[in-house]
Amino acid sequence: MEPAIETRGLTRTFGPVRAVDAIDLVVPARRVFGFLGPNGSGKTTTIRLLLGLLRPTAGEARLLGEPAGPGAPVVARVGALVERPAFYPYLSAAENLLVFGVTAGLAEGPLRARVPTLLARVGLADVGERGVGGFSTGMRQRLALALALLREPELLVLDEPTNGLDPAGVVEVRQLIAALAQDGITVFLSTHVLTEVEQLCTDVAVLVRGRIVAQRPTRELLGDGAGIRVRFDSPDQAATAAAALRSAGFVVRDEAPTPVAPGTLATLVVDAPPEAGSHVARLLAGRDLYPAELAPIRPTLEAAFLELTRDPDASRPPGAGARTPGTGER
Amino acid sequence: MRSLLRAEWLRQRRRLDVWGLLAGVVLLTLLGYFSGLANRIQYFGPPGDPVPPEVLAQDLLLRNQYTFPASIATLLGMTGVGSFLLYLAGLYLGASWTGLEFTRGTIRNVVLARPGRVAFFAARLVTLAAALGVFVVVLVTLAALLPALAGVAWTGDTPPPTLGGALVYAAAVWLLLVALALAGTLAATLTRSGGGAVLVLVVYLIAEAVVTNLGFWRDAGALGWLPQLLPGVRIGGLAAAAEAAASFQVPYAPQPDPGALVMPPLVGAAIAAGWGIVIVAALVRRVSRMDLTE
Repeated sequence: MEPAIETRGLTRTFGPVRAVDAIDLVVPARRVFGFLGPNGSGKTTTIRLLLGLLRPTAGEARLLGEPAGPGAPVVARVGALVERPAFYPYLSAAENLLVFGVTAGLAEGPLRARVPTLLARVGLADVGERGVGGFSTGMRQRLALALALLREPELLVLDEPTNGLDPAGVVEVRQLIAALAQDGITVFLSTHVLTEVEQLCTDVAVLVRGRIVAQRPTRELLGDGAGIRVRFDSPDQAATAAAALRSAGFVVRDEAPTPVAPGTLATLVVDAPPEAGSHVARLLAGRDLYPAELAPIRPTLEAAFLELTRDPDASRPPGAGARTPGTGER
Repeated sequence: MRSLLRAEWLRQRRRLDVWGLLAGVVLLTLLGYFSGLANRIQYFGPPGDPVPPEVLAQDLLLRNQYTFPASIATLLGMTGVGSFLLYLAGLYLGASWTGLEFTRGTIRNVVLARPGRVAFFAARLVTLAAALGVFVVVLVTLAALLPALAGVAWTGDTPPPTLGGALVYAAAVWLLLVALALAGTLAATLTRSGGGAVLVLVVYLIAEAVVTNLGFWRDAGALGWLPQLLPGVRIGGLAAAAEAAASFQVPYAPQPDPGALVMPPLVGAAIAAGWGIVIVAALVRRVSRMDLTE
């Protein structure tokens, strides 16, 4: 199946700043793809390039197998929510959807019939006839989501969709995204909320200073730091256990430092999936070794994200090395 | 294109500022018409002396301006060159019709809904021209209704202006408004703001007026034609050309300077059309290439 989004060397510079730096992105179809990165990493610029709102300095992008860019017809098959949703304040929510729907070339009659359903789907059924000028940030966000769904898109590009929503709204939007994914819509989700990505996304790409530093299935990314922590009362026991585990084929990657201060436990970290905990326990018991503690290490996406986005220059003293100019988004 | 025009109608019909502007033009016209009609030339001669015939003729001429169809030029002149309200309306609508899309950020939704940017801006210009046409039609309609309401008719020995001539003048005023609105749209896409567009155009028009009126051009020989080529002068000249073609003097219109160079109307209109093409080409290029960071 053709990827829903594919970029090759996609680059955008603003003066001397490379906001997006030669990124190669492949988003498989019919998945929920998380697009992560710190503030100013170039996420929104990338989204604007994909949607044809910005022209690339170099490289190319394809959406649903067709070329993307300013004026590209494929955008008609994409629903998008870009940061800071904007609407005509003198029109109601329903009228805004109607105007943009008619602009998109949708037949007015069926559109008028569909607008209330869409508003209900995003939780705005009761305020559909109210002027958007009085809407809160969260209400505008919901309306932007309804606008993104207006044309029954094959690909949904969402930039911070839960921004400004109350907790109930966040849950509703997550449920909506999950339902859309079940319907076979590809969702490209840019967000800072890592729990959202953990819950929803099958694949993840991490952008740092305009470059993609990781792109893989979420499960794989989370598996990178997984292991089993084993603690013993004495360093001798820990050393014996380490030898036993190594002889059984395990990789023990973090032995306890010696000498161990009195009262502290000696710790081993075994590179193994958390599910192998019982196997490790049986192996140690067979050698008459009984750990004080044996616990699975399940890394969070937050930990993985922080590791991937860590600034390598952060620990250097000021002036110790050149730093890439910031990639402020426009 | 049809759906774009329909969307424009659904959107613009709810804009209170546009309706307010139209109401303002109508109110000013009503006020101007009836106060102008009640106006009489004051003669302060010796008591008991009859009013001189030239004063009576002048008074008659003044009164005849408020009869149909001369009233068409009178009302357009009153709201146009008289108070500038009509031209300011054209400028404001041109700048805001597109500029507010950038200020509010809705241009993004529009482009995402309809990737063909040029088609969208073309539809916008068509509706803008239609809206300005409504302003002119309303004024022409008032010019037909008010003399009937006031019960005034052309008197005197001179023949009244023809209806055709008055309508040619109305069409020229509409073209002038469209040209202003077109320039406003271009300025709005360049400044990405409605307010910015108005400011840029007002500053430009003032600068152009200052340059054009410099005494230097009088003795500059062939170079004296240069200011006559400027877009503001030529587009403004459309109304003057229509006035000359219709063979009547529009009240409130500035009197031509006897020493000034006068460009043949057709040449002037051709240069104005050339400027129109330049503005449209610049607009198409700008719209199709611009980054939308809103």
